[in-house]
This record gives sequence, C-alpha cells and structure tokens, in this order.
Amino acid sequence: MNCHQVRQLLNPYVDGELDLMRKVEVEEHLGQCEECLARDRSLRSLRSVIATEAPYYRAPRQFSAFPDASVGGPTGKRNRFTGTRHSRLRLCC
Amino acid sequence: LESDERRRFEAIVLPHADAAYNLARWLTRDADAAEDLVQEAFYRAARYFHSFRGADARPWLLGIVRRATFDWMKNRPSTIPLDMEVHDTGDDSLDPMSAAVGECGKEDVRQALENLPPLLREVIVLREFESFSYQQIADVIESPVGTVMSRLSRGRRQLQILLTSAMDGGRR
Repeated sequence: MNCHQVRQLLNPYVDGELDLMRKVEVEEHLGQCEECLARDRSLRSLRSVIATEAPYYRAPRQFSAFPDASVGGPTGKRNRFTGTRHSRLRLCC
Repeated sequence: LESDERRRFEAIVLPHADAAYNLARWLTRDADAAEDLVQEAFYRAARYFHSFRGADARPWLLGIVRRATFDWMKNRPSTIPLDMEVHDTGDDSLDPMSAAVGECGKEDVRQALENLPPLLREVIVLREFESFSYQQIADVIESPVGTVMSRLSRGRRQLQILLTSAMDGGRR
C-alpha cells in the first residue's frame, strides 16, 4: 500500500472497521512511514480530545411515550410539536 | 399499544433517552428544542413500535430522533448549511502537524463540534458518543456505509481545522 491508499483508510483503521488483511497492510505501512504514522497519531489525538472534553448531554427528565397516560397535569409543559403536555412524573412514580 | 407491548417498549426503548437527547441536543444546539424533539420521537416510536424487528432499539430510536430533528431544522433558518465544507485540504487524513489539538479545552471542543455542518456533526456524535459501528450509523442516517466513512473523514478533518484555528486564536 502507498501513502495515498493508507490515508484513505486511516479513519476506518482507527475505528476498527477494517478487515484483518487490510488492517495488517495499514500496520505494515505505518511501521515504515513516519508521515502516515504522524497522521494516525493526529487522528487518535482528535478522537481522544472529543472523548474527554466534549459534553455528553444527558436527558434532563424522564420521558413517556403515552400521552394518554399522562399524570403530568395542567402544569406540565406543552410540547410545541404535538400540543400534548409532558408527563414529567409518570416514570418516576 | 397493548400492555405487554407497552411494557416491552418501556423496557427496551425508554432506557435510551440519554442517547436520544444527546443526539437531538448536539443537532439542534438548543436544550428546549431537544427536549421537545425527544418527546416527539418517543411518541413516534410508540406509534411504530409494531414494525421494530431488531435486537437493539438504540439505533432504531436514534433514527426516529434524527428524522424528527431534521424535520424541525428544515423549518428554521440556520447560519450553518446542512453540508458545508469549512475548508477542504483535499487530503482524507488529518494534518500530522496538528496533534496539538489534543491540548484543546472543553469550550473549544464544544464550539468546534457545534460549528460542524449537521450532516457531518451527526456521524461524529454517533461514532464518538455512542460508539456505533459504521453499519449502525448507516442505518440511522439511512445512507450507505461509504457515505458514513466519507462524512466521518470530512467531519474529523474539519474539526481539526476548527480546533487548530481556535488554538491559534488563543495564542494571539
């Protein structure tokens, strides 16, 4: 494999999406090519900074899928799409 | 839904509320809209639950969240087109000189990710936050695996450009 072919495969390589044969070919090339190895490290560094620094937004409340069973009552916030009121308590009770 | 189906739905779909909200939140960049969209997605999911055949409900639910979110985005003016290049260097891999992006802080990373076009942002979110395989991402975005690979590559390259630029700005 040449540098161009390897660079095309670096993303699936770091994502573990290559079949064994291609994975071995990429690894052989990285063992001999400093520039492609630096790109591999750069990609891993980017993935790592996303994993450690980007927030994972957790759901701010419990959700229900059944508006007819709502016990949220008239104080529930109205969904701007469905016009129904959220049942904020249903899954908590 | 019948009560058995309803219990099954609550057992296998509702537990993915965090993943649903995280995707909607990153795509909309709006906490209130994301909350409403996830609620809407759960209503839709319950309505179509009879057609769900897979073992893992998370990609299925996220596909519904995505459709609801893109419907919402179509009706809103946005400063970021769905699929815009920030700046394309023409090389599919990342600049070897930019390993320093690893030193970026939380705010830089959040802003860079938010400034990616939504079609590139969503594949990054599904891969990096949910650890979805390319096939699972393809199922969620209803596109071939080749499209997933190409968008991931472009998205990461653009993120690197944005982060490098943010770091250069911070040094000045």
